[in-house]
Amino acid sequence: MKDLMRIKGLLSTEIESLLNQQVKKEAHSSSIYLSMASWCDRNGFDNSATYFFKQSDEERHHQLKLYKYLLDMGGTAISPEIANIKIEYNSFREIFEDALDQEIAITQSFKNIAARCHKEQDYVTMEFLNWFLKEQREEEYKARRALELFEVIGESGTGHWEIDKHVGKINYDSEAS
Amino acid sequence: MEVQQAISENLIEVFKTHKGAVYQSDDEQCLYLIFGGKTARYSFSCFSRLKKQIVSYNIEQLLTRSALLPDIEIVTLAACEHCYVLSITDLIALKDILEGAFAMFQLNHMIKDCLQRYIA
Ligand SMILES: [Fe+2]
Ligand SMILES: [Fe+2]
Repeated sequence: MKDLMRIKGLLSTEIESLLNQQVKKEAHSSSIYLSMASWCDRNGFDNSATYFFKQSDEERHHQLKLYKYLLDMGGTAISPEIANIKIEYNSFREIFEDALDQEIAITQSFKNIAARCHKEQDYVTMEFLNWFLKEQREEEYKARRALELFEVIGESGTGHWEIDKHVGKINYDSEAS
Repeated sequence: MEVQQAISENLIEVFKTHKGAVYQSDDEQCLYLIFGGKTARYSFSCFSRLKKQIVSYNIEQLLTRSALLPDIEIVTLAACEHCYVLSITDLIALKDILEGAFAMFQLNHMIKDCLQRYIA
C-alpha cells in the first residue's frame, strides 16, 4: 500500500500543528512590538519606538518564514487571528520587561518544536529550525541588554532619556554571534 | 458486497467495521469510503479534512444538548462534493472508521519510513 500521507507532504500532523502555532506566536509578537512602538512614540521615546517598529517587522518576517516552510513541505499554513494586545503600559521599564519575557517564551516554544523533531527524527524540519534557534540567541541578548540599561544608567533624573538614547545602539556582534 | 461491484480497481482494504470501510487505490492515489449505503471517492487531503471535522465533534455535548435541537448533523466540506446527514450513532460509527483508517495510514507510514531508510 502506497504511503499517501508521505506523498502529500513531509510534515507529520503534530509538527504541522506546532509550526502553525508558532506562526501565530510570531504574529502575536509582531503585534505586541507594534503596540510597544506606539506607547514609546506617545511618550516621547523616539529611539525605542524605532527599535520596536523594527522588532515588529522582524517578527512578521519570522512568521512568513514559518508560513512558507509549511506550504513548501505540503502542509496547510493557517493565517492566525490575533487578539488581546496590550495598549497601555505602566512604565517605560515594564515594556522592556515584557519584551524579554516574550522572547524567552518564544525560545522555549522553539525548544519544544525541536524536541518533537528529534522524537520523530524529522531532521529536515530540525535543520530549518536551526535558523530560529540562532535568531533567538540574538533576540534574547538584545532584550536582556535593553533591560540592563535600567540598572546601568538608572531611572532618576535624565535616566529615561539616556536609556532611550542607548536602546537604538544595542547590537549583537560578539564573537559567539 | 455491492462495494466490490461499484469499484473494480485493485483496492486495498485499509480499515473495516461492520458499519463501513475504507479502501485505498494505489493506481488512482485516492481513497474510497463506504458508509451509510454510499461509496465516496476522496483525495488524501479531502479525506484528512473529513477526518479532522468528524473527530472535532463533541459527542458528549451532542447527546446532552436541548431536545429542541435536531438529532442529526449535516457534514459538508468545502470544495468536496460529498455530504453526509448523520444521526449521532452514525457519527460515532463514522468516527470509528476514520480513526481506524488513520491509525492504519500512520502504521503504514512508519513501516515504509523504516523500509526506505534501512533497506532501500
Ligand atoms: Fe521571532
Ligand atoms: Fe523575537
